[in-house]
Amino acid sequence: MTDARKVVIIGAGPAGSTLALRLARKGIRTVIIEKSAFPREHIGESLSGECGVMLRELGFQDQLDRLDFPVKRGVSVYGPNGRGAFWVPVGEPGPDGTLIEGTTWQVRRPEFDTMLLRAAQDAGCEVIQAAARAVLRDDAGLPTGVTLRFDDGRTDTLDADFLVDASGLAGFLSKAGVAGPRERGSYSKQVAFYAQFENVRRDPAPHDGNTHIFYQRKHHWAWMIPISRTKTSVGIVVPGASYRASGQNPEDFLTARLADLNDEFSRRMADARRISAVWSTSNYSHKISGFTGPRHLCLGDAHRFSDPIFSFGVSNALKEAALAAPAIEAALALDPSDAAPVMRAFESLVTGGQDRVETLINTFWEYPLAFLKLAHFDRPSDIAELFSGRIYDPSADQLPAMQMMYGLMHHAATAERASA
Amino acid sequence: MQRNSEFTTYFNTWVATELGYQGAPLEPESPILEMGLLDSLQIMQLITALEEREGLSIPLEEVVEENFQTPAAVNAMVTRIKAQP
Ligand SMILES: Cc1cc2nc3c(=O)[nH]c(=O)nc-3n(C[C@H](O)[C@H](O)[C@H](O)COP(=O)(O)OP(=O)(O)OC[C@H]3O[C@@H](n4cnc5c(N)ncnc54)[C@H](O)[C@@H]3O)c2cc1C
Repeated sequence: MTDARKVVIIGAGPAGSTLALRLARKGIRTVIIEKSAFPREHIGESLSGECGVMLRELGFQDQLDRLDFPVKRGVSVYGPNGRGAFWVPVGEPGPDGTLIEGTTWQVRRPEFDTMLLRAAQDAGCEVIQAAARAVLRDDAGLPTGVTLRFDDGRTDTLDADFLVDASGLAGFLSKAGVAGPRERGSYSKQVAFYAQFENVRRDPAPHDGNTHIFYQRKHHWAWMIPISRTKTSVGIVVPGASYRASGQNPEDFLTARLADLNDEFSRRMADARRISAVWSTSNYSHKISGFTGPRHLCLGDAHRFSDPIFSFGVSNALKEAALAAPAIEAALALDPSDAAPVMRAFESLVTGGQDRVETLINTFWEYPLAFLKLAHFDRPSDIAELFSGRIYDPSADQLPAMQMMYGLMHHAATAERASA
Repeated sequence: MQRNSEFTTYFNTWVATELGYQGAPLEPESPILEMGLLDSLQIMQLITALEEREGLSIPLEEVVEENFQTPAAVNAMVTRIKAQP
């Protein structure tokens, strides 16, 4: 009996599970290797408009509603003074293809990621709970499988016709030397502290599920993301140097910033009560170049994550999985030499999307007032489209707002060179 | 260049009529942002007013805090933009 070609996916986050689901629905044999027992904790709760669209297309609307995840209608961004706020609605394509106001979700990741993984399993994907350890390669250096290690210490090997790294920040294929080396991202000096709170002041219904972002000085900001009817995820992100200079422990540091980071933030937290530990994370901003080959690719955080401020992470993971599925299907039918250009096209499309995300974030921090002007007055619908996830479509470069941001960043780079 | 005193007179009228400012008259070097006189949205309002008054368009890269610290800084920005071909 001849075995169907087999795609092995490392990691059952949103990138890995939705890729497995898409491939399994095409009738392609998939195996997910996941080291953690699900449900497991994960940061990253706020979804974009396009992420909502993709989840509906994949058939998750009913399950998401049953899980009673808060409905997100947009994000409010509050600057250093109260009235300097702007609002970006969640957008989705209307009947004629133009963007209309829509909704997406805020999710509790343990439940959300489990839902996605179960759907992949139901579609026929096999799931192995083990850690992927090393990559097996043929004489030409192409990956042919992985070695596994189970919790009880047993080891095994698994053959693969195509290997996908969806291991998140673990960057499995980069560490194994199959993908390029890990480089620091633009926001690699930032640290985040976060916890869950009750009694956070939200906007009145139907806007009680929205995201709020607050900022003060450059690179000092906070998020407020409702994750249930009563619980809100609250976090602050600051340069690591700010934290070290404070001499405070994470709990005291978070408490102090609730009071002084931004007046509107403090007002909304006035009666809030912390109901979880304070978690912290750093070293998440990174980038890997050369993340595809004829028989492998990296997806989502496994090759790049810039910064969480505009909640693109899960959306990017789902988008990249949607782009990867047809590329993998094509590559499986081709010789390695013919598969290489298919993978390079995927890599350049994905890199373009991630670059646009970074341009958006860089412009926001370099030119906060100009960004406010664009988002609030000059090009609100462009900004809504970009926030809603149209960011992977190369045509996004033609949006006037995108052109203006390129112009601004070019100006900043020229000014910096002139002063150097 | 429009003299700072002239511009400051215009600016005093603008903050009085548009923002309802009733404090002591502003000087060319009054720190208007530090005083909390203008928030970000009011800066946008001022930009629109300046564009109409001067018949020019303020490029996005000029929309930075440094250009709105004092009436004199606003005037210097307008003058600089007008001088561009
Ligand atoms: C502070 C902060 C806030 C954020 N907020 C948001 C937000 O509001 N919205 C948003 O969309 N995104 C947010 N993100 C980003 C988001 O967390 C990620 O982009 C998203 O989880 C990426 O999904 P993924 O599937 O690529 O990886 P992950 O979700 O990280 O999944 C990777 C999986 O691989 C498994 N794994 C790793 N190594 C191995 C191995 N060797 N063998 C087997 N399994 C392995 C892991 O156990 C894990 O389950 C935030 C990130 C940070 C740092």
